[in-house]
Amino acid sequence: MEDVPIIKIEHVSKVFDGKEVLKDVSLDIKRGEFVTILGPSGCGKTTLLRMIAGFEKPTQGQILLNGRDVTDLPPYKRPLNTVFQRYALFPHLNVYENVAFSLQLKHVKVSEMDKRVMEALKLVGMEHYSERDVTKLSGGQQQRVAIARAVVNKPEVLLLDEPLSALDMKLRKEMQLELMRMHKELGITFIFVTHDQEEALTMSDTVVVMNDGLIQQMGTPKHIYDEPINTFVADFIGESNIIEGIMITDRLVHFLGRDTICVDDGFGQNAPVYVILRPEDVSLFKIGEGGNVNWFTRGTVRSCVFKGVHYEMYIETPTGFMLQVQDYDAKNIGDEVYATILPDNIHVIKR
Amino acid sequence: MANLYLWILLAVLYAPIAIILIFSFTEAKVLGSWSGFSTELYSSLFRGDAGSSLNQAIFNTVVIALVAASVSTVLGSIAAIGIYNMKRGQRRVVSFVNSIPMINPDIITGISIFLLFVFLGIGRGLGTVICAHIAFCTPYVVLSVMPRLMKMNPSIYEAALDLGATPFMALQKVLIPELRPGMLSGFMLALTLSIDDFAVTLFTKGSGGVDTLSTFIYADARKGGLTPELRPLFAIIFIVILLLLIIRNYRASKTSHQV
Amino acid sequence: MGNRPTWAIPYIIFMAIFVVAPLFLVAYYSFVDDQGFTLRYFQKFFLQPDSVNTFIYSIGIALITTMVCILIGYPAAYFMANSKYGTPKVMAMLFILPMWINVLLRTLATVALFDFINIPLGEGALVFGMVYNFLPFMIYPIYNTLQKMDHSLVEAGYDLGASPRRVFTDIVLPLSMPGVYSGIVMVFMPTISTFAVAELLTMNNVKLFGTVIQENINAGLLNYGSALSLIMLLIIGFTSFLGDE
Repeated sequence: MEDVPIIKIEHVSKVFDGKEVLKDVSLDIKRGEFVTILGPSGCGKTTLLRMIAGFEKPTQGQILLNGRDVTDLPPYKRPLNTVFQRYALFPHLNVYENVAFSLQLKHVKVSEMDKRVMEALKLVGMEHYSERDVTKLSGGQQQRVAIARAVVNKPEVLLLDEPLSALDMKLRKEMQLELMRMHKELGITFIFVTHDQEEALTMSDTVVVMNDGLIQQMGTPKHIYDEPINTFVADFIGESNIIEGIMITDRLVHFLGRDTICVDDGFGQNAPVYVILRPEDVSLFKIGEGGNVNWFTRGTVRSCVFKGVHYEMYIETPTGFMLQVQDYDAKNIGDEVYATILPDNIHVIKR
Repeated sequence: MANLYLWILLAVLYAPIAIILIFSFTEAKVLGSWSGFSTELYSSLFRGDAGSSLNQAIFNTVVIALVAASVSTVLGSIAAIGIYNMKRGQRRVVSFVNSIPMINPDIITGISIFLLFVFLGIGRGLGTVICAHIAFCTPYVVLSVMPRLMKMNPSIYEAALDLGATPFMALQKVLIPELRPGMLSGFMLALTLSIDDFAVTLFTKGSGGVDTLSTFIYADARKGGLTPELRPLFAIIFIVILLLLIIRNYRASKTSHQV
Repeated sequence: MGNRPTWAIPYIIFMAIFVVAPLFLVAYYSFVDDQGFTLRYFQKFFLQPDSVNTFIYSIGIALITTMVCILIGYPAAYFMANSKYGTPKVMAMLFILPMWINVLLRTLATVALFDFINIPLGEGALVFGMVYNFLPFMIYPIYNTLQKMDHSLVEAGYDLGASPRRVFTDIVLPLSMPGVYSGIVMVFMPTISTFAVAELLTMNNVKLFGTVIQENINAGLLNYGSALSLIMLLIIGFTSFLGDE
């Protein structure tokens, strides 16, 4: 049983009004993982989640739950629950009644129901609010009640549809940690949909990057960040300098007018590639100050803005490229600098 | 100066109503002559001395209003949910049809439905009156429920399904409680419209003696005299409506203070 | 939300039968009788000076009623919306309250009042009674628009040096016109189509177009009655079209 994926999506397509929003998507989700589906709005991530929940039917393909085909099963017969984007708490019920909703439908005994509702409320830290009117709660509190309501029934999978997008920055960070704790405590599978790459990298065991109805890349946050498979992922996850280059031969790449040593190989001779440099991996030295450094380009500092921890600078190279650099030391605008990077941090992908 | 104008206007506007209220407390057959204070007309109204046709008219009015308002509320609420889920183009067509009975003068609504019954060869009576009343009441129910739907978080229906409710249970446990205030005001509106209606009833009631209060008054007035018991009846209706409006306004102002 | 648009189907069917089909029947009966398609009933209307006169007379009465309602109702709505003291909310409610009372009862009350102070029933009483009946329908929409108007526009007017008179004519009046238009529609439409009200107010001495329609239908002249109804429908359609513009 352990190696059967809890959710298996097989060649699923979805067409809305003649527009294909999911294109032959296949995906396995392992039991107990915290999986994030990440992508810009309109990439199909919410549609995919709604299909897993049962609100939409695929135009083609199958969805398996524990190896069983649930493609045609209505949402109320699926052992998974959803935390909605705008909470979707029932305004005419109080906190307790909202959480107890699914238990009441199942005619769970009152004593048992009490116990389980309070357990769920305790998990989200809302045990003292059970008699409150949900419309009088703050956004963060409503969020917690929505989570309690979704987990009270002990679903095998919890689906979260951009649940933090309506919260302010500080509360969002707090809820990220809370959700990770709840995931550990409950030990069930979380599928979390978001457009916020930082959220995805912070919380997940596995990140699924989607764009344009297709899965672009799937892997651990670190893997996706370090080894983006294409320019979309590189650009969407974190900030990147994406530069056209030529792979001269193994471990030698030509970009920004110079040949630079790197660690990638297997592209063949003179292959067109993209070179991806993370701004925080690039260091700057003022020309004439750093001595003999191994630089990959030189350039002129065009702007320098303080961003709280680091400075964000744009360097214009002789080839006219604007190189984004993050560094703890500020340079003056107009300074002539060398830019260096460790060969390990030069990431090359096929063009 | 401004307030004086308003008060004079109100005084003139309410003068006829005041006349009736005052003369409901005298026994004189003819409105306008005072034969001393008496509550005889009120007791006579409640004893049913005014004659069986008035009692029957009151009864008919109540039955028609209750049935028409109930059916309109169910039909209109379900329709509102359907219309809300429609695509724009469809929704515009249905909304247009929905607005026809509200724009149409009563006389046209009445005559057109009358023609339908003539065309289909259906004899007129209580049933036809009720159908006609449903036709002009339901649009108002749709319009009362719609704003609640617009304000509702569209995900709560799905949330109910997600938590294990069948579509029917989701309707019963989530959607209807959410729409209840709109349905209630739609019901009240339908009730008043039905009780108030005169023209549509006149054309759809046939000659079988299915009179409502309105058509009874009309026939009565055309005969020349007004049944004296109508005065206390009118006074009671007026007071009830006044009280209802005051309560509603009071509650509305109370809730608006809370927000 | 799945197939829930289908929930409107019972209502759509009901409306098709009881609202749309009947209107088509009005048109059908106007143009078709035992002998097939005919324009006879429209000819009858236009060739009888009596009926055309009644028609024009009714429009005249409706226009006069509407005008009087604007002249009396606009200041009332304006004063209410701008009342600095007092209780405009209660006031507004008092003006709306009569709308909730049966038109016939209100009319009879008016007749009783005229009787009481010895005003003869007739043409004058008719316009008076109609204004009585329909004034709230004029005051309410105007009051509503004035109430919702952004007061800073008035202040901006004063700030830019306009006199109170200019502020009224150049700012308040144009901005309140939508309310006036819907007031016109709400007063003109019922007055043009009314029949019982006129009968009661004039002891059936003055005939309005609505009464003529009702009498013809009552007398079993369905085709002619339908043709007259269609003519009224055109007037109504035209008015509500103007109201929308």
